[in-house]
Amino acid sequence: MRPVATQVRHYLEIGFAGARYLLPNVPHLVVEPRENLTVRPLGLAAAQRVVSGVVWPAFALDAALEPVEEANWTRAVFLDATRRGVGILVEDMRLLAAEPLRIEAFSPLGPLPPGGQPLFDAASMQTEGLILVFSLDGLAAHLLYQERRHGRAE
Amino acid sequence: MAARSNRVHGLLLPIGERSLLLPSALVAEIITLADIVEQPLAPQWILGVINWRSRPVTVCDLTRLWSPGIEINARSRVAVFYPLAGRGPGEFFAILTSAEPQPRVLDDAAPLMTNASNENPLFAVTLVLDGRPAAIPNLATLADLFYPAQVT
Repeated sequence: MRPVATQVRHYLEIGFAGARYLLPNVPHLVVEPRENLTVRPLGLAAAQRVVSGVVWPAFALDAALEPVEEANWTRAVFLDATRRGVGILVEDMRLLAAEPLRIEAFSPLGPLPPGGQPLFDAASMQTEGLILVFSLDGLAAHLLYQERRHGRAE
Repeated sequence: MAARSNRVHGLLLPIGERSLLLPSALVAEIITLADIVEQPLAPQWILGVINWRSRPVTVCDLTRLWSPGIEINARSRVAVFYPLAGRGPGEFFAILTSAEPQPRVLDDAAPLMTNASNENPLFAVTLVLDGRPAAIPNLATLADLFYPAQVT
């Protein structure tokens, strides 16, 4: 499998529910600390951000990527999803330069998850272990699916 | 020389109560299972992803399609397969086995002649080898399982 050809210069390593993942750090990602968010469960969205009167929900997820009502999250990472942000709440994160990482393309086997798009499209093959890289479209589709399932925050 | 032309080099992969019989040429390497990363929202028959020769490779326990699955222990092995026909050159996949796979040379097709009924679509043929149930996997069905979006 060939290395991922990409213009991504940095990745966000995020941690939640005992797992670690990478996200391509692209310009339309928005990271907000907990103090900038309204912490009020709406449906199962544990927090929200209001942008120009529009609610951007953010979900805390467990290890199976199912929403949980509360977790030890410190920040939200909002994705640019269909012109309205939807976010994932993370316990910790750090910015990693892409260059020393060995990122390989990865195609998950089996049926698509309920969001309708593959959740992962690459993996980081470090000596200290493999870390799956979220597809931004796939993660956004999953979070929007959770919003449809658990009620839209309005 | 003519007899040699009928010889088939196979591999018997023990998966639970039965073994898979397949050509050795399909398998790139047999390894021990270590450092597997879970893949959330994957189907139950996917155990996770391993770093194999600096490639991410999905490990499957096919027995989870019809049973609770293989108990992972010190005897467990992982058979890393070359990509299926029509797939990209890097699309290796792996199957968990319950013990070390064994080479098997078939001098003729007689052991493969069977009247055993087969209700599992993953198997092209079911048979008995050395008194134990075995099966030849149906690679087309396996491809449909792995890559359902590409099914036309």
